[in-house]
Parts: sequence; structure tokens; C-alpha cells
Amino acid sequence: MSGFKTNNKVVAWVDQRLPIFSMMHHSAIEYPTPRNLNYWWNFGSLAGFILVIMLLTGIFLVMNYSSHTSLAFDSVERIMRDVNYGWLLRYLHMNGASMFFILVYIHIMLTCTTDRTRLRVKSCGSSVSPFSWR
Amino acid sequence: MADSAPNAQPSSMDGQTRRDFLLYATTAVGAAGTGLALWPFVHSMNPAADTLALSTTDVDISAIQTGQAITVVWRGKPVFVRRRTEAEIAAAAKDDKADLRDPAKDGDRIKKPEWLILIGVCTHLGCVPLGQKPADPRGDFGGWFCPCHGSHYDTSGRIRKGPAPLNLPVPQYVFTTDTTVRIG
Repeated sequence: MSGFKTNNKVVAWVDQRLPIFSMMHHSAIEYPTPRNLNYWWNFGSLAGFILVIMLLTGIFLVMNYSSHTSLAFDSVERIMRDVNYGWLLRYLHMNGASMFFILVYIHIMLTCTTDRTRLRVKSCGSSVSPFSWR
Repeated sequence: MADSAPNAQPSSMDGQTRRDFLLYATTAVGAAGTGLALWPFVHSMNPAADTLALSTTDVDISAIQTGQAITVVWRGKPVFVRRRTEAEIAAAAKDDKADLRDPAKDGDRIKKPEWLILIGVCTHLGCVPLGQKPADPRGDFGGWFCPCHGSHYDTSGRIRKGPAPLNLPVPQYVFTTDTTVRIG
């Protein structure tokens, strides 16, 4: 965490109070990664990206959604027709949920085919099952 | 980069500028993309289409005869639509020079001299002034009279007498046709 240096006073001022820049520097640049990473490793950050999209669209959808049995359908119709870009937020959230599962399953599959942690999971089936996540 | 580094000349800026260009280009595209992605989220918090539809009221004014007035509801408030007579228009214009509590020219309060459109809420304590019906008292200046505390408004809706501090406000409106007004 200590390797971050900057000459920008604004960045330094923010970073001293909220070390967001040194955190980004640490995880994106400083953090050591094996040199044999291949494109399959993208699925981890892609899953993280989808997670951010799901949180954002979910928070913005719930601003216009009502979960009451007599209001839920109408509120979804309103999101689709009347709320600005509500259709886009809802479709992003719908398809993001599917994409999240696809990405996460591929991401888990890496555990079966590689030996990243030197703790190779004996059974692929158990590692894919959500009930074996540890 | 690893095998070219020992042979690279220190004075050469070639790799430096190309790397800078890529960095600036990536930053610019990233900023533009973030902005484009953020806009739907921000815009979704703006008033929705059904909310905006409630913010305007279309009024058919074809049936209003000269000297008559109607009251319509706009955003839950009464709005006076009055078709003024020639005498009322002349009186309103003449009083531009009178001693007004809330100075305003009649010409700035109308779009067509015949039609006076006002929010019908007394600026004193919020009663609805009288003067819309032919039998109503219209006060000393021929406009409206508020029965609660006796504010008199003239034929341009300006406060002339009584406790109210301000003129009756003029809402935003447009004449969509000769016989239709869209208020709001």
C-alpha cells in the first residue's frame, strides 16, 4: 500500500483522508500477479463489474418499484413506460442477473482446470455447486 | 519492452509520447463512456412522463364570452381565465401609472390583451378571491375581491387595496390554438 506517490496536491489531499488512490494503485498496479495468467482470468473482474452494474441498477430500480401485491405490476409497467430510461435500467438488471451467473460459473470452472491455489479441488462437481462455496 | 529497454536511447521521447497518447486516449474514452453510462441513471431521477403529464392543463376557451370568466384546476390550484371587455383592458392599461403596491405593467401580465390568466389564490393568506361569477363582488377596481380580509385586485389581477402584499401570480401558459390554452 505504501508504493503510491503523487505530485498532484488534490490527489494527495484526498488520498491522505480517504486512501482511494493508493488502494487503486495497490490492487491494479502494485499487486503481484503470476505471469502465466490468461484470458480466462478476466471472468473474475467481469463478474465484479457485473456486480457493480447489478447494485447500481437495483438501487435505481427500487426508487420506482413497489413490492406490494396490488402495486408491483403497475409499478413495473410505469418503470418500463414512464420513468426516463427505466426500460434500460430494468433490462440491464434482468440480463445482468443472467450474465452474472454465466460469468460466475465460468469463473468457478477455473478452479477445476487450474491449480492456482495449489489446493486443487478434488471434485469438479462440488466446486461448481453453489453449496460448496467456501 | 523488457528486451528493448537496455538499448533504448535515454534522449528518445518516442516511446514516451506514444505511451502518453495511449494514456490520454484511454482516459478520454473512459470518461466519455462513464458519462454516457451515468446519464440514464441521473435522468431516471428526473420527473417521469406520467408526472410531467400532470403538470399541464389544456383549457378550451372557445365558449367563454367577453366579460365572462372560468376557473380551472391546475396542479391542484384554481386558475382564473377571464375574457376581458374593452373597458377592463383600458382600465388595466391606464392603471399602469397608478400607485401600485407591487408594480407591474398590464402588458407584461398577458399574452393577448383579451385574455387574463391568473392563479386564483389570494397572496395574503391563500383564500380564493371572488369575482369569477357575474353576481360576485369584484371589489373597488372591477377585478377580484377576497372575502377573507378584503383585498381588492384590479382588472389585471394587481393588488390595489387591502392586506395582500403581491399581485395574483401569472402562471406559464401558451395558446396552442386560438381556442385552447395550455397552462403549465
